Amino acid sequence: MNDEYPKWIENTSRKLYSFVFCLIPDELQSRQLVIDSISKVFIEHRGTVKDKSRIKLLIYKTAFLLAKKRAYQLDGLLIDNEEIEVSWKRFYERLPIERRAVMYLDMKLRMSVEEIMEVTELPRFEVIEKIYGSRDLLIQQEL
Amino acid sequence: MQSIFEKPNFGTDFIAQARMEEALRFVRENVSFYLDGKLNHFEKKKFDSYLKDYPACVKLYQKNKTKRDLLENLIPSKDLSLTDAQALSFELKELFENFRQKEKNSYQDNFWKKVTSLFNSLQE
Repeated sequence: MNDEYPKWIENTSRKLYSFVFCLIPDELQSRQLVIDSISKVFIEHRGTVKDKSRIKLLIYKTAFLLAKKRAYQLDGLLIDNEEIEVSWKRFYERLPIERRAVMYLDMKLRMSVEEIMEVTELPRFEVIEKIYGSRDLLIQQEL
Repeated sequence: MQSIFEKPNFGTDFIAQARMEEALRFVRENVSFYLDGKLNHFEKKKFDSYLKDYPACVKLYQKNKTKRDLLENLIPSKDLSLTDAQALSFELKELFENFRQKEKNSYQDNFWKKVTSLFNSLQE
């Protein structure tokens, strides 16, 4: 790891935290998950992957996989969390974790369908369905 | 020490973004029909409400209206089809870029001469 990485990690962490919070609406859990996914990728791929955009995808993929496991373990506890706003709580009840992930990657990070497929390991048709299905739901949602 | 993490505001943020993108998509796809008066009552109402609520839609609408006005002034017959109008606007853009790069000082005069001759040839 060279000198430019700490700054790059800091910038990546900001957006990654938002992504993870979207999947697990708990501040402490999200912070821990950011640290875990970045550490895991750097340990597993040290020296083998040098392209930053590739590393970024691997970090998001790892974060999603870890978040999915933890969300199931924490199921029921998260929705009572007071840290999240009411309108967003309704989304958690109506949108499964895969749909929230696809929605975030599409709308906030502007990832391509191929990139979203890689991060979520979902087939193309499911990614496309989730992108448009989620948009429809958001448009119809009352504020 | 200040945290580098900011708690995101997802609820309203996502809804607002989705609605604005939908409005832009609707305006982009229907602006030609709106200008031609070919939208039905409900579509027109929807279009007007988007223009009222989203400045980005107004900008998009005005850009298209200016382009349409320009084409209508250049072609008095006004029976230009949508496909023709799109092809012409693309050609105009190409021409403009070409002239701007090649003739830095007098590109505007030459550009309009070229455009006029292009439209004259199309009308024949």
